[in-house]
Amino acid sequence: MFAALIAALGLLPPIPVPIIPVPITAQSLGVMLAGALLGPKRGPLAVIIFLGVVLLGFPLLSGGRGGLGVFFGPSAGFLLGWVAGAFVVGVLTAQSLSRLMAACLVGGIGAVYVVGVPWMALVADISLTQALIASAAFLAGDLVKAVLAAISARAIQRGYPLGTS
Amino acid sequence: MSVGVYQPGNSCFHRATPGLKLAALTIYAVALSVVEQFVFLMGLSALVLVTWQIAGLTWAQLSANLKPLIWILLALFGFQLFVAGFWGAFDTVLTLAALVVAAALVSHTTRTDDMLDTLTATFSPFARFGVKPEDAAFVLVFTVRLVPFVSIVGREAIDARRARGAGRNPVPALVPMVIRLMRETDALSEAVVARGFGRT
Repeated sequence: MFAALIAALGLLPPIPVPIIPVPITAQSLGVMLAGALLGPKRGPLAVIIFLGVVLLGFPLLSGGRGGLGVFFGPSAGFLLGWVAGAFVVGVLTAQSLSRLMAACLVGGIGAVYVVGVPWMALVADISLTQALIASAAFLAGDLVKAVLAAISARAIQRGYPLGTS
Repeated sequence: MSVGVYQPGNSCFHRATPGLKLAALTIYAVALSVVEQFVFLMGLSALVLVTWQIAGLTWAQLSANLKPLIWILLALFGFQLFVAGFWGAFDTVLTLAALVVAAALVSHTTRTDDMLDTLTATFSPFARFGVKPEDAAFVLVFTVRLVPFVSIVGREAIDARRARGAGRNPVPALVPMVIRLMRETDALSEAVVARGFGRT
């Protein structure tokens, strides 16, 4: 079900940033929520299911993208990074706001970038530093999303408690 | 809500098995990334355009696939112009564009059902690690069915906030939306178990 939620977040229109090779999306918010609420096993699984549906050709990514093509582009590493991100957030997740926030920052941003940036460097044939600079433009948006994800996750935990593993 | 990018047709690409097409795509991708000479690069790029025609797809569909990428490609071109010179930039951008078109070609000519069957078959080797191929395929189909449902729930949450005079800010609507989805998930999984799927 959470996989479907991530898809729905893609229905929010992406904020187009024409200069840089990865569109900003609200979907990484869903990735952080999946990790925070579902834990280190089911969180990444939800993301994998979502990517599987995208791979099948359903245009669920923000901007109505889908199909095999997106897994070959320069930003495809960030899609794979979501799996790692959901896992790390799931490992670090907790019942306190500050720890949730730390989890979203380390997993939702750190882990995703660790996979996404080298991929972009490789595919777009630019150096790691250049890829990092290109990605830094998204850092502000990602920071906002990490904070929002942590706040939402805490509120959802209060409203509908469930085990996180 | 219409989902899927399949374009009906009866070309040899429509009739080829998804596995064959995926293998061909992989080979094409490797060839593109290895080739450096101008002639071969142009040849490979032209090849994808020819196959696009053979598959009976239109130029409008081609540009629809490349349109979301145009700014990315232009930015990359400008960037490479400084780093690798004109030919380096040309090579990188053309390679990426050709790859995306080739991948879109596979998506456009392969029915989701067929792709799913191929996927079930592909999952089979993982059975020894505890992955049930049918279950994996079932989950994928189930997720597809739930996509419109989630967007309906999201819309209702936003509408509920507006009815109380709050703005269109979607973030505070997110919490009730997710909670409601999680309740529905539990109900759905009970229903699935009651019908004899899985154990938990």
